[in-house]
Amino acid sequence: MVYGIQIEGDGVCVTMTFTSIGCPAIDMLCDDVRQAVRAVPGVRDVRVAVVWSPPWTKDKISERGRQALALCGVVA
Amino acid sequence: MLDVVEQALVDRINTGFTVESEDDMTPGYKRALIVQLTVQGDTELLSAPAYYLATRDAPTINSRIAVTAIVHDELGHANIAYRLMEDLGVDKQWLLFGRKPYEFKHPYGFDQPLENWAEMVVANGFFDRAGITLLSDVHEHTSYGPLKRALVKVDREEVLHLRHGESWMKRLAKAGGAAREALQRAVDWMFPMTLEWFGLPDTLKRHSDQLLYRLKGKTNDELRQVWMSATVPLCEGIGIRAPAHHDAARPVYVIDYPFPCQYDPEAKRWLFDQPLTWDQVFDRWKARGPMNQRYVEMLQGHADGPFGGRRW
Repeated sequence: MVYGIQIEGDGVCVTMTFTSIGCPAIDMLCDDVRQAVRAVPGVRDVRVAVVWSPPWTKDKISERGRQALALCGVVA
Repeated sequence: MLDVVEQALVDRINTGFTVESEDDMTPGYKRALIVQLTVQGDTELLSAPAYYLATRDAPTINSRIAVTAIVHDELGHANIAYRLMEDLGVDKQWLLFGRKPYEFKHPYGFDQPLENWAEMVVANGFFDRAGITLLSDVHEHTSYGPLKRALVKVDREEVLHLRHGESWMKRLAKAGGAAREALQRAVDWMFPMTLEWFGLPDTLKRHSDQLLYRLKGKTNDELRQVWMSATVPLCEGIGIRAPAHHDAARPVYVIDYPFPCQYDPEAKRWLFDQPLTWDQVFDRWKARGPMNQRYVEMLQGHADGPFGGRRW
C-alpha cells in the first residue's frame, strides 16, 4: 500500500493508497504508519499522503500478503 | 452420570482428540455444539441491524462507511456459524427465516436500541470486546476442528471492530463537553449490560456441557474477569466512570453494585437498588428487549410485520 517515501531533513512523507476509498481502516493505518515512522531515530515530522492513482488492485498483494490472507481463509 | 459412550468421547477429548465430523460425535456433544453455534451465530447476526441503524448517527461519511464495513463483517461471521451448523443437519434458511424474534439466542444487549454515536462506539468497545473474549477462548480451547479454523478470520476482524470502538471512545472523552457526557451515559448502561451477558456466576453453575466437551475453556466468571481486565483500565485511562474496580489484594476485578439487578430499558438505566435473582434475569431476557422484533424483522423482511417489512 506504500507507494513512496520522501525524506527532507528530519521530515518524512509517506505516500500510500488503500484498497478502496471506503476502506474502514484508513484512519487506523495512517495512525500506525505515523507512529512507526516517528519511532525512527532522527525523524521529527511525519506526513502521510493518501493518493488514489495508480488505483490499487488485487494484483498488488505480495506473496507474503497472500499467505497471511490464506491463513484466515481468504483467497485473493 | 454420563453414559459409557459420552464418557468415552469426553475421555478422548481430554487426551487432545479433535472432533472433525459428525461421525466423531455423540448425541450430547452434537447438542452442546449446536447450542453454542446458535448463540454465536445469532449474536453476530443481531449485531448487524443494531449497528446499522446507528450508522445514521455517524459524524462523517468515512466513519459511517467504517461501521457499515463492521456490519458486513458481522453478517459474514453469522454465516460462518450457520454454515458450520449446516454440516450438522441444521437448515440455514430455517435459522434465518423460520424463527420468531423471541426464538433467537442473542444476548439481551442486542435487543436494545443504539441511539447515538457514543452508544455505537461503546458497543464496539464493550460488546465486541465481549465477543472477542468469548470467541478467543473458544478458538484456543475448542475440541471441534472446523470451528477452530473458522475462527481465525473472525477473531482478526473483531480486533478491528474493537480498535474502532476504543479509539473513538478515547476521542469522545478527549473532546469533552456534550461528546464526553454522551460517552459517560453510554458506558453507564452498557457496562452492566455486558457484565450480565457472561451469564450465571460460577457459584451457581459448576459444570456445563460446553466445558465438559471442551467447547470452551474458561468459566463464566473467568471470562467476565478477562473482559473487565481490559475494559476497566480503558475507562479509567480516559477518565470515564465504570462500576467496577481492581482489588489488588485478591487480586480480582470487583463489581461495585448488586449484581445482577433490575434494568429499565425505556430509561436505559440500571436500578442498583433493585437486586434480582438470576431466575428473574432470565425472565427479563426471555421477555426480550425493546428492539427485538424490529431487528429480526429488518433481517427477515416480513411485509406483514409490525414495521411493514422495512428491512434497512
